[in-house]
Amino acid sequence: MNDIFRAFNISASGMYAQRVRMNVSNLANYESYRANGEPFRKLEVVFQALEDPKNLSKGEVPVRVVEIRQSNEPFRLVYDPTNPRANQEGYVQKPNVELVKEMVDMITAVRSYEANLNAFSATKEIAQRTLELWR
Amino acid sequence: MIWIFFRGIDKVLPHLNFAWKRHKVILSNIANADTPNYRAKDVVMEKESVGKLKITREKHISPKSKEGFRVIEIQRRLVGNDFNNVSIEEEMAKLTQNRIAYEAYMRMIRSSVDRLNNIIKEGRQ
Repeated sequence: MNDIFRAFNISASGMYAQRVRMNVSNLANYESYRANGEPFRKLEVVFQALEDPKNLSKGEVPVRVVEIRQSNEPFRLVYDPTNPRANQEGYVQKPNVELVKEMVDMITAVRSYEANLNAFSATKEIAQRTLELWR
Repeated sequence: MIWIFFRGIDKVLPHLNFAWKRHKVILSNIANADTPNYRAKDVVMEKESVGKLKITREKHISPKSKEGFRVIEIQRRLVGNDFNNVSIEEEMAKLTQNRIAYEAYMRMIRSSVDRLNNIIKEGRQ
């Protein structure tokens, strides 16, 4: 019985990971600055497969979010001399969030979430079939 | 005597276990579709389980796993820059395929249970 529940956990771990990816607030902070005056740094979610031999022999490899780190990509430079944050040459540093990348990332996250959801309902159906033997 | 009715189940059971394990592996592949450095996995039947080599003496080589199948990593193209080789379409196809196979095995088991049930019920009259 536990075996079946663990199978649900695999799909759930995948869905959770994708949801975290959706939740990182990059788009909301497209123009934000931090309290210390630095532009907001893009947050990146790092996935890792839990591939220890015990899991592997059972064929169960859940995914885990190991860390959410700040991106080291250079900041966007926008020419805007009237902005109070502009430097001597008139350039303003903006957060290193890129709209297009974020949108694409979001679409992949949603698609992966759906795939996991599909797999989840497949497991559910299998479990129900197994239970039907009782009747 | 009653075990005659379950003999069919004995034949199907390894395949059922195989389908269940494969299902779990496919779930893992789908969950890790975006994990860097993850290699897609699959389950294969070992040769021993097909050839039915019995262990009759102590010193005979025993198969690697009791179940007769093992998890392998798929070695193939690496698309993209994260060294992940899961193809989500293929996994979804395998998922459906596997589910139908599971259903088929389940029906076989179901039929032998039904047969037994029938005999129990009709015998009462």
